[in-house]
Amino acid sequence: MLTWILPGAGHWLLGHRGLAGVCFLAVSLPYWTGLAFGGILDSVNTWTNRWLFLAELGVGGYTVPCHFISQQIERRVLKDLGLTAPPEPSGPQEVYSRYLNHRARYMSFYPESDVATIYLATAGLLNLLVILDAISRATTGGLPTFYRESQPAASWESRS
Amino acid sequence: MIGAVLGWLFVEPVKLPPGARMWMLLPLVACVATVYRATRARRPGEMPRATLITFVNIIVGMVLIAAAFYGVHWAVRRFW
Repeated sequence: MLTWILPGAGHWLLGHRGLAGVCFLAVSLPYWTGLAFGGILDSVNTWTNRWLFLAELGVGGYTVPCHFISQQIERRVLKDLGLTAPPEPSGPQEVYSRYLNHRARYMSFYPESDVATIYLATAGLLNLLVILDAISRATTGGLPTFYRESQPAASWESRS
Repeated sequence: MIGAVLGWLFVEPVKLPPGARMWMLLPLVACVATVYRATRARRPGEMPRATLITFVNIIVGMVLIAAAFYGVHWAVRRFW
């Protein structure tokens, strides 16, 4: 849960301070880089980008507050245009293009949007790996998820 | 102040410098290699060499996959 809120926090609590720092940086850097290239409005948005949002939820501590900020910006755009809800593309073309034009300064386009999507999704999924590792270390007394002790071949044979 | 900086950074998207798109692969692969190796290490001291090897493996693997796809693409256009 701690790692879900802040990458590396679970490792920190378990006493793996160095690994906590490494995990924090390796998850946070791609997340914030992706957000900088994608812009918060479309990158963390359940309406325009729901699959990306699902992947980003791996880092809930970043994604949930960003989602609220994204909604705030969306409301501000609608308020500026005097609308109550986003217009449908099939509706009046003038209203829809005015909405898109006003929204464009907060949106990213190719190639930035591609880079942002890949960075954000990767960061979310990497944090899932960090969460699993923290659980593994908590249950095994500090052993990592994929830990294999170097042992002579004979000892492996005797196990089977 | 912090709000203004965060707003400047994340509200209006930053532009990617021209030609930088492919190079954006490198920091991402470095992060993937780091997290993967962190899940296998007991101490951070074990990580740098293993991370570097994983980083190089991923890059070489992706270059080979790209080359293979390019070869298939070329062959389809040439012989199909």
